[in-house]
This record gives sequence, structure tokens and C-alpha cells, in this order.
Amino acid sequence: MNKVVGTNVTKIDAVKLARGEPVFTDDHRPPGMLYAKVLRSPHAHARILEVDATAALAVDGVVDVIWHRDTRPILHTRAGQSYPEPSPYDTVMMPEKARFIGDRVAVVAAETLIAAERALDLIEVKYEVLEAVTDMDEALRRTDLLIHETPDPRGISQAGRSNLAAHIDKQVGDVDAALKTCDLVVERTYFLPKVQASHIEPHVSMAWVDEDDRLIVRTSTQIPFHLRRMLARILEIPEARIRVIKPRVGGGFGDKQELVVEDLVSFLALRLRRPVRLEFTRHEELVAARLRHSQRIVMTTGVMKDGTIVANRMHVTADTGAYGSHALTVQGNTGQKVLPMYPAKNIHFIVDCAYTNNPISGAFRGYGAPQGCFALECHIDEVARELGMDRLELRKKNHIRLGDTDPLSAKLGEGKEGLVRVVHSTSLEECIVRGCEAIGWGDKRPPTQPYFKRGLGMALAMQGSGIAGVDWGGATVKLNDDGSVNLTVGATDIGQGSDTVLAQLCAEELGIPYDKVLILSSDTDFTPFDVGAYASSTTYVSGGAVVKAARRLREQLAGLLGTKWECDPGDLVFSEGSVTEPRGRSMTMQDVALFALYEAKIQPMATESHMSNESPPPFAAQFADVEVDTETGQVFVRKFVSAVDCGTVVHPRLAEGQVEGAVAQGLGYALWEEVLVDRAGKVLNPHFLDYKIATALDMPELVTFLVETSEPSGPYGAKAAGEVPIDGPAPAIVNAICDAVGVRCYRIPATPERVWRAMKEQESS
Amino acid sequence: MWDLKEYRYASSPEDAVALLRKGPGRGMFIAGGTDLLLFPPACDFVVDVSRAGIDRLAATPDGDLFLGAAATLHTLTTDPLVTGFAGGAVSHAAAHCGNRPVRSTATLGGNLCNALPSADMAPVLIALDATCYIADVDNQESIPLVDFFTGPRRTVLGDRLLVGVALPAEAGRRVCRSRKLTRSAEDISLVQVAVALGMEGGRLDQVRIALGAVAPVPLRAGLAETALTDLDYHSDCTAAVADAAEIAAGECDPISDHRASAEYRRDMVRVLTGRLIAECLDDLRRGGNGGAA
Repeated sequence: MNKVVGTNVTKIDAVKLARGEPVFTDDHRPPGMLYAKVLRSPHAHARILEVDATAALAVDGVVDVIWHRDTRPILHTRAGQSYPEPSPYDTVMMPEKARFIGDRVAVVAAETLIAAERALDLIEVKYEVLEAVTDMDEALRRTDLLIHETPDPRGISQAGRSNLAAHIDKQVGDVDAALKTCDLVVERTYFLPKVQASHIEPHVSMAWVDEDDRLIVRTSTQIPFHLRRMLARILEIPEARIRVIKPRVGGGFGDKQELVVEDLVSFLALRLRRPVRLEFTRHEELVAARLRHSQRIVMTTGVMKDGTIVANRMHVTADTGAYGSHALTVQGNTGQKVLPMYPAKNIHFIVDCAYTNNPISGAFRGYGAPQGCFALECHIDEVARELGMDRLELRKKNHIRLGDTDPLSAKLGEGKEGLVRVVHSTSLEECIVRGCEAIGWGDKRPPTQPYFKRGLGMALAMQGSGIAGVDWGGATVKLNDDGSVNLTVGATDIGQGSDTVLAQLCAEELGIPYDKVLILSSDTDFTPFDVGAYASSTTYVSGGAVVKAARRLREQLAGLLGTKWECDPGDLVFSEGSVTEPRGRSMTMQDVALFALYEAKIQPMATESHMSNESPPPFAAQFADVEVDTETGQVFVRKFVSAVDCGTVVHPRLAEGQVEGAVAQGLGYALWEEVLVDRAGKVLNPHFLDYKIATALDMPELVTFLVETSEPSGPYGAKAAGEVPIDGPAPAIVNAICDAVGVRCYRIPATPERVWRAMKEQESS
Repeated sequence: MWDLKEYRYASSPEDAVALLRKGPGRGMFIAGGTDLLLFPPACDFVVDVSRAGIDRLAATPDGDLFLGAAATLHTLTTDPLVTGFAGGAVSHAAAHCGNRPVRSTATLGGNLCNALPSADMAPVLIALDATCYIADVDNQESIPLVDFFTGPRRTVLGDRLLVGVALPAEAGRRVCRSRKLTRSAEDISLVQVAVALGMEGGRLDQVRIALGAVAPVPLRAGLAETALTDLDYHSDCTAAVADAAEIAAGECDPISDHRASAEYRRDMVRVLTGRLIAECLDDLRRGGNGGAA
């Protein structure tokens, strides 16, 4: 039996990556390429009155300097989402008003990077400095100080009227009434920081105009097709004139689900008729790319003495920064992907998301769920403590189960009216059992120093598999003479390994060896459409298209052979690179291909699309074993256990890699990472010296279980894996800190000083 | 991007100083380059001192230890001359600078001459009475390391070159431990403390407590040192240790910044100083250098 799904085949791009082949965006150097650099606003809020580039243009090698007078103010959103995007149209290529420290003021194109940088220092800008508002509550109050004066043409934000970028108020049941009937009501407030995805490869793009007068954009992106559509709008040229090529990508994590630099290189390439390249520095990544939204979350939960959760309210106040990319949908996910974990009869979810003069927030792995999961899972521990009930028991009593309906799903969609979500696959209960066993729940190990205390914490998480009713992808499979197939997909491999997984699904369906699949992703001229790599959609949604296309190709071949062999095509077996009929006659796939191409004279080939009206949740139960230094407040995570239900596991090692990478990012979120922005809107730590991500030295012992289920709506039973494991680390670790030293960190990251302060406050109270 | 016009190699310390002074424009010394590349300075040329013959480690017949300024931090973590001196305290401090790739190229001299208040190598060397050797074109001068730093990113050097530091043999017989408080594992120090204790007839002698990242320059906590001197370390020292730690906390002058508050840093001086003294006393009671864990 052919078996490719579920095996650790060699990652399809491993060899070329290991060899250092020139596969990334910046490995390419079109002849005559210019370097672009962006002059960024030093003011959080200022009108750009005049730009004098005389001195800059006099620098040897400087070719051009553009600013808003050189561009047309086409309103758009830079969020890479399906059309019509559920993000406000509040952005233009070159703004007349800078809205944060780091906003675009001018762009230089020069023969060398040094010349471009030197020119930046020589550009003279006349600003009218405006009052800035960087506090989200103040921004929401102020209607006299508008960050966006032009109304959002589609009314998603209240631009032009207030600084409200997004608002949600959805209720199931009646929370206020239900709270009055509860034995206990617990209310707490949680605070989440701005953090940056910190992908190794920064934002980098290059564009040129080819011999057919077409714009070619080679870029490190998660969304090649959305990008083509967005560029056409911004540049006012037809999509047909644009080709977007996505080479290998060195990580995106949502930060590349956004148009960040592509419009500038494209505009300059068209204007100058020369190739133009723009790459962000790490400093730019931390001030001018996208951040995870900072939020304040008030949780109000009503429970009965037996632990039944009767009512749950989550009120989110969020800071989207200067522009509203993903403002509505990220904040929507904070409740939508999180609250259904405990499907109470009464749920109320409120969001107020503010424009401020802070750096821009956007998509980042988890897409709002890490914030919500932190608040909810810390809160469950707090409720358990007040109730005098075991925190594990409280979770077990209330968590969502097989066959349960997600109560919020019908009320909340992501850009589309919500579709009712029912859990058709879950191994959450087994995940909890196996996780508890591995961490030694109820059997705390002793601390390793007299001044350490040890604690255990846990968190449950759920996410989605694509956006129900919205995300879709196409796949084309074409048979070659030797029995190999070309698989072309718009799905976007950004390092997570989707090319490998999709090739596995194709090989499995066709009954051919994995190395007979030649995959190409993604090039808008050659591959079918796909929304791109986000929302944990690729295996589940794009994988569905691959399986369908491969199946149809197989049906074409079966039809041909059925005629040739005079048998029922449905009786043919495709396995191990051959096709066999019931009486035993058999042909290799190569012979089948030769027959089709040279005797039947047809090209066996199929294109299929796949969309799902469901977004089956993957689940995770995550556990932390930590030691806390009672005098310094330092937290040392000794062991971290993740038990994850991602449906059928297509590639165990890649899936584990997704989990472990997410845990590393979650660890940084819990303990160290925070983009610190002062009251004036300036980032204080725009470098890895002071923006601390987890490194190899910080990693605890990791234990990962993939507790398989079979999701009826997924390809070979697969669900998503990429996002759910980033949700649990922060609450699990903070719950473990509380278990160790008895203090609750309501604000992450739980830095040594914050933990020290919390312990001191407890001492003095 | 670093707009560097010229890269020069020096063949000796004197040559290095001469090449730096030759101009035109502003020059900088470069050894490992890890700090210069992090925040490239505005300079026209660099003088590379990695071939100036100042990377050697040596011990004199009396047991003094000389550490060349261009020795890499990795060399300091592994060389037997260093691991065998004062229980390997210098090696321990070096092993907690940056990460393995950084330590393979970063140098002792670079760490000291960059003169960050948080320089990882300063406290432990000050606690071991290090002397700096400074080269001019025609002479060399030596001064105590504790006097080398004049402010954040400022030293007595001017356009002269640090050749290396020497540690007296006597210091090698002290018990010595240092510790660095950080956020994540790979981080700049929030607070750094080094303690070295000598003994004379059952009593503490040559007490050194050096602090980093809690004042404009690395410093010694002289009052805390005095409080411990002559202490009978076989007696119950708990109260004396706590007092000395408290005194040391009072001697530092930390700032509040986005890394930590002054209040926290000061308390961490107390915590780390107390722990290190207690650990050093345990080492002494166990009969010598327990090593630097």
C-alpha cells in the first residue's frame, strides 16, 4: 500500500536550502538594480508640508527621491485579505500626514545602499507637528483629534468621525442577567504587550519592468495573489500587467500577510524603468513592520458552586496603531477563537480597537487568539482559586467536546457572516491526560535552589483551520512522460513546509512516490489562485484542492485505462507508482503516461478549487514546569509539554516543528518580548539587544505529542497545526509562576522585575 | 550601512597607535568587531589589532597571569591558564558573554575598551586586582583596571591601545565568583557582581566586591569590603553577609531605563552580593577554590 501521508519524507526544499543555493528574494540581482531606502517620520503626528531633496539628489549615485506630491492618494488597506477586505481603507502609498514615528515621508532610489542612506540624511522636510495621541483610551475619547480625517469609504472604521478603528459587540444569551444568578462572579483585567514576529528574513522585495512592459515583483510574501490585486489598485494598472513571484521565504508569521514594501519598489520600477530593491533593517522591522496588537482584556465570569461556567464576558480594548490593518479581524479572533473553549450559555464579547499614533499592528501567528487565550486561561485559574476548585477539574468540567456547537460562531464571522461551527473531531481530553502525565501534574518536582520555588501551569487552546466560507485555494496537477507530475499551487510555502505537505497529499492520492511530485508555488502567472499562507489554512484548505485535483487526474487516467482494458474504471487501483486492474493486469505510471500522451494523445491534467464552510478547530493542551527565583523574580522554564490535536498528521516532524517553534515564540511572549513605546510614540528597543526573543539557550526541555484525530472535512483527516500551539505557552507559564510563588502577573511579559515587584507587593499587603 | 574607507592591519601595539594617529579622518581600533558591527561608528578607517601580537595568554614564574587584549572570550573560557586561576572565575565570566559564535571572535580588550557600564569582563577582573597595560608609540603605562573607566563608553585610553591585563598571583589564590543578572539567557547585564575573598589565618583578607551595570563605570563596593575584612569565616556569618550585601547595595548608583529600574537594580546588587559572598565562604570552608558556578 502506498503510504506517504504520515511519514517524515525529506522536506522538499531541504537540499537546496542546506546548500545555500540562491533561492531567496534577495539572492537575485537584476542588472542595473537600484537600492531604495525610506525616510521615516521623526514625529508621531505631523503634516508633511514640503520635502526638499535638492541636496539628496546631488549625492553621487542618487537617482530619485519621491514623496507624496509624486504619488496619487489611492485609499487602500495593506492587509492581505480576501476581497472585499474586512480592514478599513485608511492608507495611501505616501501619506500627506505622518501618523507614527516611522511613517513614510520620502523614498530614495540610488545606485548603492550607501548613497541611498547618505541621501536620507540630506533630505529637508518641513513638518507641521500635530498633537499626538498614543494612549488608546485617550484616543477613543478624543473626537477633536482625528488620526484619520478621511472617512473609510466602506465604513469599517470610524475614520473621519473618531479614532475607533473597529468595534464588535456580540452576545449569546444574556450575560448581565445570568451573572446575577451565579454563585460567584470573578472579574480581572489582563494586559498584553506589542510584540514583533522577528522572522529571520526581513521584509524584502524587488521589482522590474520586463520586455513586455509588465511589472515583475519578486518578494518575500505570504500573499502573492492578494498582493497582485492590491498593487493593481494602488498603481492604477491592470492585474494583467503584474506578475508576483514568491521565492523561498525565511519566515513570515503573519507579518508578511501584508503589503509592506512591494508598492514602493513597484512604483519606483515603473517610474524609473529600472529594477528597484528594498529591504528592511531589523530596526525597521521593529518600528515600521507590523506588531501583535497590544490589548487590555477585562474578563467577567460567573460560575456555580459546582464549577459550571454560566456566563462569560470578554471586553477587549486594543491599539491598532496608526493604521487599521487587520484591526477588526484580529480583535474578532481574540474572542471568536478563544471563548468557545468553554461554551457557556451566556457569552458576551466586546471590542473597541483604537487608532493611535503608535507603530502599526497587524497579523501575527495566532491572530488575536494568543491575547484572548492568555486572558481566558489565566482567568480560569483565578476562578478556580476563588471557587476553591482544582483548576484542572474546572477546565475538564467546562471545555468544549465532540459534537458541541461553538456558540459564538454563528454570530461572528471573519469578513463574512459566521457559519455555525460544530466540533466533529477532537482529542482534547486525551491531550489533557497525556500532557498531565508528561509534566507530572500533581507531583511537583522540588526546586533546585533554596531560593527557588517551583510551579506547574497549564492552558487549553483552540484555533481554526482556515477562515470558514472565505479561504480557498486552487491546485493543478499535470502528468509527465515519466510518470512524474507537476503540482502547481498558489499556496504559499514560507518555510513552514507546505510544499512538502501538499506534495505528500498529491503523491498519496495518485499512488505515486513522493519524489515524483514536482511542486511549484507560487507565481501569479503560472499557479492557480490561493488566498495565501495565513489563518492556519494551507494543509486544510489548499490541501483539499490538491487532493481533489489529484483525484480528478486519477479519474481521467482510470477512464482511459478502463476503455483500454475494458474494465470498470472504479476497479482500478493506483498504488506504488502503478495502476492495477482486478484481473491482475498492471501498468507503471510511466507507461500510463506514455499511453496517454502518445497513443490517446491527451494531456492528463486537472485543476480543482477547494473552499470549506467549516473551520474545524485544532486543539492543544499545554503545560509548563517553572522555577521562580524568589529574590530576583527570574523565571526559568524547565519543561514545556504540548499535546496537540491537528487531525491526521501529514508530516510528523514538520508538525512537531510547528509546535516547537510556536512554543519558542510563546515563551518569548510570556517572559521577555515587548516592543516598548514611550508616551511620545517612540520605540525604545528597536534592536535584538533589548527586544529579547527566546534563543536556543532559553529553551526548556520540550515534549510534544500529536494526538491524532480524523477530521471528516479535512484532506485525509487533517486539520491545522501552525497557530494553535502559540496560544498556550504564555498562560501556562504565568499560571505556573502563580503556582510557584502565589502571585499573578496580569501583565506580560513576566520580566524578572515585574515578578519581583508582584512578589514585593504581595509581601507588603 | 558602514561606510568605511580603509582597513589597516597593525603589526605591533606601537604600530597600531601610529596607524590610528596617521589619519586622514577618524579611525577606530577593531579586534573582534562584534561591538563595532552592532552599532557602526562614524569613522573613516579602522586599525585591526588582531595581528599586533597582543592575543597571547601567559603566566610568569611567580604565577602572575597576563591576558592579552586581543585574546578571544572563547580562549578565556577554555585556556588552562585561565581556568586554573582563582577557581576559573575569569573563564566563568567570559562564558556568560554573548553566545558561542560571538565569543569566538569577541575579545577581552574589546569588551573593556567599549567601556559599557555593563561590560561583562570588568567586575571579575577588578575583583582580582587587574592591572591594565596601555601602549603609546614609544612607551607603555600600567594602571589599575578599576581606574581605567572614566564614564559610559569612556576610558583613559585616548588614542592609545590596551595591550592586556595582568592579574597578580596572590589574586589567583582567592576564592572568586561572579554573576550576571539578565532577562533572557543571552542578554546584556542588568546587574553584575563579582566577589573575591582572600584569607589569612582563618579570617577574611583582601576582600573584593566589584559591581557592574549599576553606575556610570564598574566600581568596587569599598565599604562592604571593609565590613567583611577580618571576618572569622568559620563562625556563623549570616548576619555579616546580609549586612555587607546591604552596604554594597547602598554603594551603587544605578539608573532607571527600559531594561530595569534603579530600585530593582539596587536590590539585585544586595541579592547577588549576598549570594556570592555566602557561596565564596562555603568555598573557603571547603578548603579553597570551589570554582565558579
